[in-house]
Amino acid sequence: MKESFTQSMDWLHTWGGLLFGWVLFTIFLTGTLTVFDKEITFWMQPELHHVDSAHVNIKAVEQQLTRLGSNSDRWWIELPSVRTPAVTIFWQRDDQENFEERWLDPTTGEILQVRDTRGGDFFYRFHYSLHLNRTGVWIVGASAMVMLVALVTGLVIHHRIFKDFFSFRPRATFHRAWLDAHNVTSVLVLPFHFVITFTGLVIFWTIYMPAGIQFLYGGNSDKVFHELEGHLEREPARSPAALASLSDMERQARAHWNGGSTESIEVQHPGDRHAIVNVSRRAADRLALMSDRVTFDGATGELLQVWKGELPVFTTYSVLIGLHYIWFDHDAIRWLYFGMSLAATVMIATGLLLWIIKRRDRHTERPLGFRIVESLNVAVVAGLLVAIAVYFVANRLLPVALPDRADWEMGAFFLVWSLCTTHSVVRAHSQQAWREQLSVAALLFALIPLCNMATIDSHLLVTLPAGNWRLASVDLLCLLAGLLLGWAAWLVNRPVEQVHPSSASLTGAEQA
Amino acid sequence: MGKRTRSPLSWKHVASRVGAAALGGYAFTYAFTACLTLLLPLPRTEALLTAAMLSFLLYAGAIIWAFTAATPWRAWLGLLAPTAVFTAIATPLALAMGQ
Repeated sequence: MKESFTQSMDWLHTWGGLLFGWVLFTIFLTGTLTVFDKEITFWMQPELHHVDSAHVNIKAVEQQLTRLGSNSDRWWIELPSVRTPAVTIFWQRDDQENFEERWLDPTTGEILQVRDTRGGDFFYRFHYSLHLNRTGVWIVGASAMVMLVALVTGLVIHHRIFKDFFSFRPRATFHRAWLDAHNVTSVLVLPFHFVITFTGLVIFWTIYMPAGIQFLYGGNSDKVFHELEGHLEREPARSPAALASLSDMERQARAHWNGGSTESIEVQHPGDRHAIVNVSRRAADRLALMSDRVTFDGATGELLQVWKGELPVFTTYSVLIGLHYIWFDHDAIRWLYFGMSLAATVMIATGLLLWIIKRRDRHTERPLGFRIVESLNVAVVAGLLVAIAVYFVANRLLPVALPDRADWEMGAFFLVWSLCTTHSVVRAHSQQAWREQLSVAALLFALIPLCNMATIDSHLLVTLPAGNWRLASVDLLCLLAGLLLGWAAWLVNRPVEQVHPSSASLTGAEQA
Repeated sequence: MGKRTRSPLSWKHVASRVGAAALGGYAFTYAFTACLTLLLPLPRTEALLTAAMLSFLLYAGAIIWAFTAATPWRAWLGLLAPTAVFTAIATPLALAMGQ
């Protein structure tokens, strides 16, 4: 009975992992980049590289919003942080779904002309919706469930976990080395894999598991969020009243936070007698994502509410999703997340390759299914890397004034990815396809710092001597990625069909 | 399941089992989550969040269980029977609570 249990878990792990592995790889690779989403956005907006955020003049920002958003019903001000130097303002008209966005100089409140780009936000959105809106969110959710199941089944079939934990045999047979790589990247950071997958599901609980909302709130999720986050809202009075000083309210709010700083100021019904101002605390110094908020009457400046989400389950929930969002400011932890997330990505890629490697020795002829898997592996693993590099290059090389520029950047990403997919199908030998795409990716990543030198004045030769690590790290990581991918391309180049027939009959963990 | 490795895998059995795991498992989790939300002696937002967060672990467990059940038929039964029970508890409760 035990034997058959392990076998069914092995089956589930293998086939679930294969079918969802490609989506999971794209989610985890773009998710890895999302760890540094704000840094990537900053890198992609060279116009902001010299902005000084030491002093924030909220009055000047408010004047700018009064001018631009006079007939809108909602304003948002996002104050600068170590990760984003400019003030961002948004405003939304009553009759429109979309909001307008501008970047302001924190000191003067002047509008900064910034190239149109989605920056790191593109990877952030892609990693949970695959650029497919709600459908994508469901696909990602299903994949995350498969990931959760694959983690459990992986543990079951890998019962020699502690012994194998210390084995990495790169010089053993090809298959053993890949299996070891898969096991090491799985086991070493298993808690991370589990936490990041679970919390990813929890973030979208209202979409994935609205059972409680249906039965307890009649399906009204707006009402749920109102209760959860204690929002005060009121209808506009339709009679004008000047807005009290936002900078005074911001100062008053901070007094409630024991040294915490302000992340954003939201104004509802600006210019109306019923205006409401929400000042929210930055989650920089805490794990919990849902942060403290102080609410004022916009017209009188009177304090209406000091909100701190302190109920135990809510706090647990807030910390759990905070562990996924990592909005706290801690560079060392951020890099750790980057490394662990990369390990997860590598785990998924090695798993996908293992499926091929395990079966390659058993077949002399390659059936169609086998070829499809090989092509998809190349298209998803190598092709996505090429597309990501192209997205960075496009940010530098597309004309700054190009209309709909952000769409062109994303278009370049998707165009190149589909070209890579075609290439991987057309190429008869997957080894050749691997080598070519990895070489192109290596070349493109290495080119990124050079594109910088050719197009902007904050490149490595400037940022390195100045100790500007926020910018230099991006270039250095691109160089490193170029080197590693070049090395990978070189490895693929070596003949690998030297596996002895005896090693094809595998024992040990593979059978387990 | 032990037999599956000896006799060739019938795709109908595989499809049925996958269906039981994915759909049956979801229905089971959904009904259980609704029940738990209504029955937990906590403030209602707290009950809501507790049940919602646990649901993903429960669903994972249900999927794994569906693959260990002796036959696909039993996997369906084992998930849908409790689904019916939980729905029968949750529906009148929700109505009584004014939803």
